[in-house]
Amino acid sequence: MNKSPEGLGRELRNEELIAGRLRPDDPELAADWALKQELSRLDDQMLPAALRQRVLSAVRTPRHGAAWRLAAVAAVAALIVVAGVVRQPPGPQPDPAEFRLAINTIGDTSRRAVWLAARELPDEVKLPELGLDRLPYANVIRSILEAPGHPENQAKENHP
Amino acid sequence: MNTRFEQLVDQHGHRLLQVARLMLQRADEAEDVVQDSLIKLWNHLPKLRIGDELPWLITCTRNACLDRLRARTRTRTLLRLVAGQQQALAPDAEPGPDLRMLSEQRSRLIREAIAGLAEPGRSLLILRDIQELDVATVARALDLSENQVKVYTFRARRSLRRHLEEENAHEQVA
Repeated sequence: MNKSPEGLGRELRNEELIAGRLRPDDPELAADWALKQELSRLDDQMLPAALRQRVLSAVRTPRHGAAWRLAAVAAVAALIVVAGVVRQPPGPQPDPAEFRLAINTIGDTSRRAVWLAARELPDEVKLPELGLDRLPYANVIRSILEAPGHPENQAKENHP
Repeated sequence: MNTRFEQLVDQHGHRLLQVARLMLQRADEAEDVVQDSLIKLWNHLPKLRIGDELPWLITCTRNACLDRLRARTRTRTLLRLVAGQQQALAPDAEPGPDLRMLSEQRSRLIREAIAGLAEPGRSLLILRDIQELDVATVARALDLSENQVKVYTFRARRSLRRHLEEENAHEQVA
């Protein structure tokens, strides 16, 4: 196989021709194109229902116990946060920066536990029923509970 | 979360199974690999951005298949040493219960030929030609540039075609 820059460029162009919808004129490329079409028609396999069920059972069964433990941790973390908020002397306007500092002091693990609890117990934890809107800094609390992923972990460990 | 996970299982599960079957040529091992990959997905899902799931799943499944293929090679080597045999052991290919028609024989021949290709060509043909995944997704899953994906796919397909033509010629002579 030619690995010179010209050869690589030619292979690249050939591949783009083969990836097109029209059969190339060149006989060699036409044969490659035909094989590509044949490969795309190789029969697909459905995911067997039993395998699907095994996967879903595996992720659900052990998780319920863990979820309740997480919920307990989350409750403690939430109590710490709420207690800190309630103890603040009444002022004209709550300071979100102070609250964020308080959130940071409960530690990354606790914040992750709060988020995981919300993830694991979507049926049990109904955010509207928690009365978050009545609390100061409701938006900050909600942003933690509803985050699509733990914010500090999103950038890393995205590879298996 | 549960809904998102179930959607991903339904959306990509069959794709992963096809990758594993084509790489391993064994249905039981392929199902084990896919089950493990999906369970790993559940554990990693909080850390995965939406849209990153498929490349992550492909990488995970492919790595697991490659690990098993390496283990097979080690086992075969060991068996050969123990038995003092020089000839290669019979392949593990599962004959499949439904080889009924000529087109299925051709499909089987293609699958076996793909399984015999070297990496990354084998994975590229499975992902690009059979599953028709876009170049960007495959490049992310295999940690290649998009141009590498195109050039290596071209070479792998050409190699596969040559192999199939040779097989065909042998059959005609026989």
